[in-house]
Amino acid sequence: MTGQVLVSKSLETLRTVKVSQNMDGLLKIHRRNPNSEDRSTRAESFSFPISKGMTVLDALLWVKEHVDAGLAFRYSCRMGNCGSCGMMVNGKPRLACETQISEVGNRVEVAPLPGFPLVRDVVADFDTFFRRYSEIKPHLIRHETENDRPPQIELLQTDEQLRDYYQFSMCIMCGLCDSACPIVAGDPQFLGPQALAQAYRFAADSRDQGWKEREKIIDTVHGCWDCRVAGSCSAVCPKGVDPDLGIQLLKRKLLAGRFKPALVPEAQ
Amino acid sequence: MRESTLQLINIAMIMALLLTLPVHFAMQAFLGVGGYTQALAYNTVADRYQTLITITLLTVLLAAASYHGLYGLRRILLEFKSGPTWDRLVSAGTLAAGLVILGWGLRTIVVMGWGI
Repeated sequence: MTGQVLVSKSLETLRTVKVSQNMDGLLKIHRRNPNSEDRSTRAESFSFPISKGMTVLDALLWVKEHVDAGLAFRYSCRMGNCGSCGMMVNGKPRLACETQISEVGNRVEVAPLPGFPLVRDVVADFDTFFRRYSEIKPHLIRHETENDRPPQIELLQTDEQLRDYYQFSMCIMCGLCDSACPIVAGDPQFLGPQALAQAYRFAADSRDQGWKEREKIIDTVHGCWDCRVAGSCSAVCPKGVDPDLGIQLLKRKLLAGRFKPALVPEAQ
Repeated sequence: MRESTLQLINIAMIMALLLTLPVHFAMQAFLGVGGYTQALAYNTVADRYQTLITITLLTVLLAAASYHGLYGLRRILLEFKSGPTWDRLVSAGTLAAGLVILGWGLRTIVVMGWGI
C-alpha cells in the first residue's frame, strides 16, 4: 500500500496517515494507562514501513513519530547495552532494539513485561526489581577498618578468578529474566533470578568479603531456595548470562559452606 | 533455622529413604516371615517389630518419610500465599504435624516392639 495507509486504532476507529513508503509491517501494541479513567487494556494495530535491518524499536519509534506521539515505551542506547527497552515481542521477553523485524516476521505484537507493575503502554515499573537487586548488596564489600590503609594498588585477579564471575557481570538489568521466571510471577517475596545471579557474581569475586552479609539474605525460603530450576531466565537473557546456573552455584556454595567453611574462599 | 540447613536435612532424609525403602519393600515382598501373600497379615506385621534391626529400619523410615513429605508440603503451601505471617504459620504447622506423626508412629513402634 503506497501513498496512503489506514492505521487501525481499535476496532472502531480508523486513522489516515499520509506516507510515501510501502507499509508492509503491522505492529500490534497492547496499551493501557493505569492512571486514566479507562484502565482497560486495548490492542492497537499500526502499519509501518519495513526497511533492511529494522528493529522492533525502530518500528515503535516510527509509529511514535508518524502516527501516535502518545505511545509510551522506554529506550536509550538502541544497541542492547542499557537494558531499557525490554518488552514482550511476539510472546517472548526480548529487547526491542536487538530484535530485528526479519527475525520475528512482519506482524509484530508487543506487550509490557509480565511480572512488573505497569507505568503505561509497554513501560514497566522497575522499582521492585531494583529494590530486590539492592537487597543483595550489589557492590564489592571490603572489611578494612578505618585504621587500615586503603589498598595502595588495585586488587589484582588471575584470569581464572575473573572467569569465575565474568559472565554474570555482563548483566544489563533489563529484567527479561525476572519477567520470564514463573516463580517471580507467583511469589512477590522471591528475590528473582537477576538479583540472585548478581549475588553469585559478587560471591564468586575474589576481591569481595561480603559473603556472610549476603548469605543471610539469600539463604531463605524466598531466596535462592525458591528457584525451581525452570531455566526460563537463562533462555531469555539477551546477553548470554545464565542466571539459573548462578542460582544453582549459590545453592552449592551455601551447602558446601555448611560442611567446610574453607570452601567459601576468603577474599585476598 | 537457615533454609540451607533444612535443605541439607532433606537431602539426608532422601538418602535415608533411598536406603531404607528398598529394604522395607523387600521385607514386604519376599524377606518377610510369611512371604508375599502373608506380608500384611497381623502376625507377620507384629513379628517385624520384634527385632532391633527392623525397629531401627522402621524408625528411620518413619522419620525420613515424615520429614521429606512435610518439607515438600511446606514448600507447596508457601507457594499458595505470600507474606511473613503465612510463612510462619506454614512452618509452625508443618513442624507440629511432623511432631504428631513422629510421636504417633514411635508410639506404634514402642507398643508393638515391647508390647507395652
